[in-house]
Amino acid sequence: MNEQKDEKWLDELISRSIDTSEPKFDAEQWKQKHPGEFQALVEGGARRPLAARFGVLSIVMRSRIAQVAAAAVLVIAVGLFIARLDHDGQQQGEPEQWAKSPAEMVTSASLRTAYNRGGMEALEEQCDRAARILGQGLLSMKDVVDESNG
Amino acid sequence: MAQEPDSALVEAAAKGDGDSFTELCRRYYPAMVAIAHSMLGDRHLAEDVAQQAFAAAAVKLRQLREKGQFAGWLAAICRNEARDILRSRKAIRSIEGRPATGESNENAVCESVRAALNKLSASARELVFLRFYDGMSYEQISAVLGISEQALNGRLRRAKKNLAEYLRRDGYDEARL
Repeated sequence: MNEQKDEKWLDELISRSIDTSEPKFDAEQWKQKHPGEFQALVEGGARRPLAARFGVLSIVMRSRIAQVAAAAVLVIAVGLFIARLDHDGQQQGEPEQWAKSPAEMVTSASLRTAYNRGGMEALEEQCDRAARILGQGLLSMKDVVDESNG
Repeated sequence: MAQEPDSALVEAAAKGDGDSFTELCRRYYPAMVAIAHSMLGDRHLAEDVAQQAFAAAAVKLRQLREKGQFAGWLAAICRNEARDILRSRKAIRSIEGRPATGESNENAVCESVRAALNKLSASARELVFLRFYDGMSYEQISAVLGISEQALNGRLRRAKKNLAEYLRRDGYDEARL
């Protein structure tokens, strides 16, 4: 059998077997059936969608990778903010902020704070700072510790 | 408005011109019904799916960056809508434990043709439906499928050849019909 015969034979069969009459689109009926969508189209033209109003946001919303990256940036930013808060909190504990006089620098609370902050080095540094204010050579660290232990 | 190119109508519709959008719907309604019909096998359901696709397109139209590719974009939405229907139909069938409404009253020849159409690949079947539905130009079919008219002819010839082969295997040929 040749292809031309196939064509004619099949065309007729297909037309008989499936309803291929032209469907007519009824715009009014469609608008009544989908009022929300049609309104969104017509009204949406007047005001741009929220994402489109913000250039960066619209880019972020389009791409999955950009969304993940934006989420990661947010997490890092929040982490840094929290770390900064902790750092500020620790700084409040530093003797420079609240222990103004040498006497305050060598109280047990102040020395403990210094030790917690930087170990023996910080402790020694704080004692040195107190000693510098009082006059070099007046106090050694041992003297200060002995003094504060009574 | 009927002579306007798709891209101009899409541009206007995206700015809120409802008439431009309904003109696009009118232009591509037969194609969308044909696509849904090829997937669902039900003409009335196909018309509902095509209208649902227009509703989805109305909401998403501003996301379409290439205005000239409206037809292909709309066809993709329509296929997705039809797939959703197919999935829900399968779910219903599995719950009820029996197939959906039968077609026992239809004559055997038509049933064989439909069975042969179902043996074609989804894209070949879609092409046959698009070609045989009235009211569509080759240009429109090319736009919907995103292929040249020459490629369309080639694919259609192959699809019909396969269809004829399936029918002959089932014992139908031009002599008997």
